[in-house]
Amino acid sequence: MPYLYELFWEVRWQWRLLMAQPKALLNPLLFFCLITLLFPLALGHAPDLLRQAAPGLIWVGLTLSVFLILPNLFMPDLQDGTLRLWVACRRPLSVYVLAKWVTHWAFFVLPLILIAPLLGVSLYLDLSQSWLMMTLLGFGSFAMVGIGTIGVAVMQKGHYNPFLLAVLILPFYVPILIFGAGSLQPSSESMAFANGLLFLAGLVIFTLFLAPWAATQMLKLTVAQS
Amino acid sequence: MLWLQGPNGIGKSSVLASLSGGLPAEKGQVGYPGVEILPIAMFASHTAWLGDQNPIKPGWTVWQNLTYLSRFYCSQTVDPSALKGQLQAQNLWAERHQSAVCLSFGQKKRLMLAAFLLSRQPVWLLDEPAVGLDQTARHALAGHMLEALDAGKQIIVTSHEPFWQTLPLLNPRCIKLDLCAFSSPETGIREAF
Repeated sequence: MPYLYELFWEVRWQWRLLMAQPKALLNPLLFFCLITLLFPLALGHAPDLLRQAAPGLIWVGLTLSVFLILPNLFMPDLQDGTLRLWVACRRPLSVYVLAKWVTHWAFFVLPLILIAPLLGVSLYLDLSQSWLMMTLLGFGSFAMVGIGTIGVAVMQKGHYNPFLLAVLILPFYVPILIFGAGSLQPSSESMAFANGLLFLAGLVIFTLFLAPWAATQMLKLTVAQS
Repeated sequence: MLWLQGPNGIGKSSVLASLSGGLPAEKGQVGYPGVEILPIAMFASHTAWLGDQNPIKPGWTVWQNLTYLSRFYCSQTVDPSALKGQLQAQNLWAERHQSAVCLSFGQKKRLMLAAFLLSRQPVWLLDEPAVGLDQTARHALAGHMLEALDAGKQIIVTSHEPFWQTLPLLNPRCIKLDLCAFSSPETGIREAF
């Protein structure tokens, strides 16, 4: 139980750290709105085409927005020495990784999921499906941020390389995209949603076990080299 | 009390970092009076490390920063009155509700010291603790070091200025160790330790 208490404490303080700069939320939020709203403008009045493509477009927008927030995860703490203190004071780094993951997802990604149905209106998305879509987006993006923690932990001190990060983790985002967007297609049968949800929920559990451990090992190496 | 000396870049901070566990060491054993000799990886749990960086979050107030930092040096939640005592001792009590972005370099260092002095570990590792501190704060720090030595703690310090020499009681208890003696171009400092 001390571990859970420690985790709860750290989540609360990481949340406070994010709330100290609420303006940072605008960056991914505006990016997500922009990228989704550009499609109806570019494709013109084509309701059928847009309705067909809407789930995919929203998923692509969310994936790119998640990509935008990943550098915010560990880079500030690597640069100001907080992570060296974590290692030197032997606090469990998995607590740190989990707290960063949960708070960053809740602060940056959850608002995007909440406005996704509104953006869906511009894409002629069937609004009766919006609850299903939000559930899938939630599970998928949670796993995405978790996989992202491993990728960002590999990055060297201060040298954030977006291209290298994309090469490292985008392949792991592909199945999330395929299952997430595929099970929302208007043509797909009713079982597709359940299958997609099961896959994404399983992936979340798998990532919950793997990512804190893997990111901890990588962060230890990165701190030792810095 | 051990004073590590040597020119810049010879590895004083690296020695402290590897003793604290922040830098994994391949091999080595550490011991001090009253404790049997331990492998270096086990020794890390005896140490409290004060680094050369000040991980202070600009978005938080001084009080919030201290509460967060206290978690690193004290495994339990610290009583607010203990935090208040530390802030008063470091002369930062009046600034407790200010944003940490307003703090000067020396004040940040004092805030780190306030958190560090909460630690209960028997070995202190101080990496350039006096940089940026004024004369009063240096004197107070030397006083804390003397108290810790009297309480039976061990201190390893790196510094380019022996600020503790103003305290006559502390001076004779300081052992100098020049890292130049260990470092030859072939073996390197890691081998020596």
